[in-house]
Amino acid sequence: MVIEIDPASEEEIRVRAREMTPAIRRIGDSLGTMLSEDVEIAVSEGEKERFLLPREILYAETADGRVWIHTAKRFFACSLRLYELEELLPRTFVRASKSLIVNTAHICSLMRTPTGLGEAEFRHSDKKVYISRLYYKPVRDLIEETRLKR
Amino acid sequence: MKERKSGLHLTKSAVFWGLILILAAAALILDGAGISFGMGFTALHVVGGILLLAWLGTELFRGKIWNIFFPLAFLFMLFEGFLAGLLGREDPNLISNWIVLLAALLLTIGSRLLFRREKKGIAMGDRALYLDGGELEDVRISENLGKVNVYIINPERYEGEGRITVQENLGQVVIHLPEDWFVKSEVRETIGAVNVPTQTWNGGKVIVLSVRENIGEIRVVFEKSADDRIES
Repeated sequence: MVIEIDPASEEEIRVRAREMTPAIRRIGDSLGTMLSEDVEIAVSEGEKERFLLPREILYAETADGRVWIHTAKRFFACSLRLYELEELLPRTFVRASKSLIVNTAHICSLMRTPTGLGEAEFRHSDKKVYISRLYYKPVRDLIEETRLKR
Repeated sequence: MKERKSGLHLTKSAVFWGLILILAAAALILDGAGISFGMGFTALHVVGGILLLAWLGTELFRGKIWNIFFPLAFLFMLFEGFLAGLLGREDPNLISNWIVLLAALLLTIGSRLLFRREKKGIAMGDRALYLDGGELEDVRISENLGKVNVYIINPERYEGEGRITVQENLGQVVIHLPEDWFVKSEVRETIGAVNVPTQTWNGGKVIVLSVRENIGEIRVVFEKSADDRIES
């Protein structure tokens, strides 16, 4: 591994390889996740503004034209659009329906309902979300990939 | 199906009307004793005027425009004689009291139909409803076939006389409420499950959960207000 320090250059991380392999992809994902984890998301709680770390967030959903971010016990309004959140948050966050993104790192169980929806439960919380049929497989695949990585 | 009995509680409405009756009695006594406040104003005019203005102001403050017509009608009836004098009329009775009250009734009903908002949720899939604490007077969730999560935003704006009605529910409704609220359940025509955690009323805000024609599941979850750091 080579790390070059050049005060005159722009900040960037570059990985050079002959071809994209699963290992290279994992390196890229891990670096992306590490950089995203320092991002703080501004949310509002009444008159107060709070700043949440991605690891505090269970999921974010849109309802009545607004984006709501849920932690284990509370929820907050967010001025960002869902797609903007999706770009900012680490790769453990994935789209679970048209109006929902979930943090797969906090999902402790996933169950397929008779209607084909996925019911996801979170650690340290009573909250549940429902994953649409279209997004069930990508969510499940990401959880499996995350578990195997560990 | 689970039902809980509700205890007696003192609402703001009970306090308000209790004070009104007491002050009205005081005004009648002073008026009967012939005590006046100059310019022909009796105790009844003063006390009644203050109470009616307080009633009017309260309804305006709450944004319930449809409720202002009765206090206005009573104010008119109370000071009708003075108004007649200002207009130079000999007869102090400008308009029949029955007409005034009937007009107030019609205006109340008409404006209620025009301006009152009901939150209605009809869900086929899964959805979340975020309801403002200041608008919980009459919330209806009906014809639900999917899963609905109900959350309360700005709970400090809730004044304690709200009602959430869930009817014709075939799916699942989960209502997330602040832990210091007390739920009074009214359940009928239900073969589904209604789960409300056992509570003891501690003087906090009361909300009525009315359930009708429920075949699905309705559950109340009380959200703790403590900080919720996730252990990483």
